[in-house]
Amino acid sequence: MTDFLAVLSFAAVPFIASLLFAVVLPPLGAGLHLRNESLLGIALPPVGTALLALASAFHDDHGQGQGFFDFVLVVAGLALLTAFLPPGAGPRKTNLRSRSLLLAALFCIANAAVLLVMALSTHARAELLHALNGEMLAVSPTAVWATAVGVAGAGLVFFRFRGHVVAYILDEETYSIRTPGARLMSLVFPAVAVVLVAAAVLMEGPILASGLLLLPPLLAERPARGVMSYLGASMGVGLVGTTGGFLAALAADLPPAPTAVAGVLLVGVLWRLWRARR
Amino acid sequence: MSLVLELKELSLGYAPAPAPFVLEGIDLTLSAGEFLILQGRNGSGKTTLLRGLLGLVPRSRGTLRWHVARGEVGYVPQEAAIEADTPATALDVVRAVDPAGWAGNAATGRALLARVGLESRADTRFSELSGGQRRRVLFARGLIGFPKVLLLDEPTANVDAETESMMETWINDLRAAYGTAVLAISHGTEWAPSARVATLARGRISHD
Repeated sequence: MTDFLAVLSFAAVPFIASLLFAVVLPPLGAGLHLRNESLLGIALPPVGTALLALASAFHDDHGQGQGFFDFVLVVAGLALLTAFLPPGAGPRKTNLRSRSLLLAALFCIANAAVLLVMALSTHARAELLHALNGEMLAVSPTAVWATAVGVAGAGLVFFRFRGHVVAYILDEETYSIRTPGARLMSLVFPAVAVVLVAAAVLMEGPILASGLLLLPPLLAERPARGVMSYLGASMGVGLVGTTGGFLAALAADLPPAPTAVAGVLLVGVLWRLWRARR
Repeated sequence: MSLVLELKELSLGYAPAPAPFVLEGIDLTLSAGEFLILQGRNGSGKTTLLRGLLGLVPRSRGTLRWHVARGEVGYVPQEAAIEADTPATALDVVRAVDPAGWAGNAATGRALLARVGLESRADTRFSELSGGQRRRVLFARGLIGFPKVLLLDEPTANVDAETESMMETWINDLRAAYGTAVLAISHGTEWAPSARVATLARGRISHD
């Protein structure tokens, strides 16, 4: 027990970072799913990792400010990607099947690129090996504070404009018809998604980022009745599963990211079974 | 009666020039409280015209002048652009049309669903409703904010006889209570004998 508490105190900062992402990524993933954009949740984390691998290959030392530079680079890359994708949901929607295939292809290309860059650059390999093994990543308290402020801000903005968010994720076409300034939402929502995914990839690695974007929305959907219920249930499954998985990883000396994903899966399945019995 | 919508020599199309327009030289006016059905065969351009009025057609020429604000135009599509397996309830679908009033318009949403006979289905998932019930939800959604203009795309398609017979009553109640102007595009006009009828054929409108 004493050993466990000692490890927990060492892991407190990464643990808090994981919980922060477990609060925001599942509702974001649920929103993407409601917009039929789940493949963005699949493609963005590996593309972000590939950008991070490239950035790592081109700098030798992880000096002061390098983390922020990496973050800006990943955000810029993901923003460019989402901006130049063919339109998805909404009034300008084009061929959704082609868009889905493109995103799936990007997933494949990005994963291959990560492995290639790691093979070619020892520095990139050193930077990314822990993340790809799902191990605990070094997270600075400053980054966690910045994330906490960002998550709190995102939560407040969501609460204030929740009607707009629901209208946008549910039926963008009708939202754009009835609401002046609707175009702003079509810029803000992807921008928030890109920033959150980039931060999650850097601080938690692609495994947990993908897991939190995809698993809670999948497991919370069927029992949910209503959009708010769906977003809330996704958040609950993500938060409880990540907490349980992270603590289990520390207790059993397992890599935290895959154990947290397993925790989310277990909690989601149990919650779904419990709801089905009621 | 004051004009709410005015079209002069309006042409609409999807493909960029030099491709021809789908509709050319449309002249049309709609006044407050008026009920106009625009009928036409498949492919005559009815839906293009309706989407053009909503700003969803990329290429246009001529005059399209709304005399009401954008938020005062209600729209009832033939099919919702909502994913088929959504966990959103009927009430969510209705409320979401007025995002600024989300927190306060639950009661209004329930009242509108009751108006179309779905008071007991407000908390049912939209995906679990029948096709006819979904059409009623979309109609109730179009009434949020009691718009000054209501645009309806094939309102009687895929609905049961009861809903079809109620549709004109709902529309006339709306016109009487709020002076709402209604423009419906429809294959047939027999469901609404009180409406003025215009016909769209070969890209042009003729008034009956």
